[in-house]
Amino acid sequence: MSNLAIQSIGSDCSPFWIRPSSEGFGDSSRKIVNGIKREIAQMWGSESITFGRPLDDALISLLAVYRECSQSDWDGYGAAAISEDAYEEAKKIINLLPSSIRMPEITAEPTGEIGFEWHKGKGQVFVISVGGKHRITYAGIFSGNKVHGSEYFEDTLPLAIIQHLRRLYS
Amino acid sequence: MDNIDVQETLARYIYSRNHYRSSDHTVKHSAFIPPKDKRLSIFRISSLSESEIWSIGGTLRAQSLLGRADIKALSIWETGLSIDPDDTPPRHANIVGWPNEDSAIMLKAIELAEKAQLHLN
Repeated sequence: MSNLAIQSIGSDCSPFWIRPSSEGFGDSSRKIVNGIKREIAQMWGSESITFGRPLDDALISLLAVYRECSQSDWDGYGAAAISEDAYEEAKKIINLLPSSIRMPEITAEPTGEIGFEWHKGKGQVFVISVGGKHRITYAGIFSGNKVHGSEYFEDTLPLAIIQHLRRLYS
Repeated sequence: MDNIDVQETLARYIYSRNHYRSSDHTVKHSAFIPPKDKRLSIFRISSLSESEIWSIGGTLRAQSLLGRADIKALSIWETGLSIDPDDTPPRHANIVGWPNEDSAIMLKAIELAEKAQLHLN
């Protein structure tokens, strides 16, 4: 349980939908978990909490994109094939997304990278992409304000990315 | 063809489901990410009928034509990009003037997608 709590309060807020063993996970533990969920939802100002199913859906969607775009010229304009490295890195991103953040739409990019798109509405969009090279490229529009840049990525989601996502959903 | 007018409409033909959202009928930024040579292929479609517009895109590639993203020339210029009308094949043009940085390119692509209108085939 303490492991769950520690993961949840970190600034990078690793996902805590990773299910512990069912042993000793009774009603009282569930209440504590639900309490943590509420706390995190307040902390992030989120609109939704995603557990289990959205994560599975995202991984299925990623696999579909990878299969569809693992050959070059998948877009008719000479697009680069999505590499296995890009696919593995994209999986890592999904698993690292804070559970309080809505799962993104997953898309292939003509550069051979995999993009994650949070589209809240007209003029409210944030996109990141990875290509298996330990670098996240990002860009976004927040009601007329524009940002773009890149961040080194290894095992944790860069704080800058989380901050932009919070900005989108605040 | 004549010089491009600000009100002229240009089409980016779409051959991959990755380039649009069926859910809200909008264009994804990936439709406007340029290839390595940084010349994003588009067609000048003002004054053409719908069937003429679709027939251009239907004959260009081996893939099935799924749709198109229509965008005004003015919107492209407002994004800080340029249009190079090479007319090869007829009515063809390229969006050029892309920045060097990948993230800056991504931002331009997002801006274009936000201004484009999706039409499905």
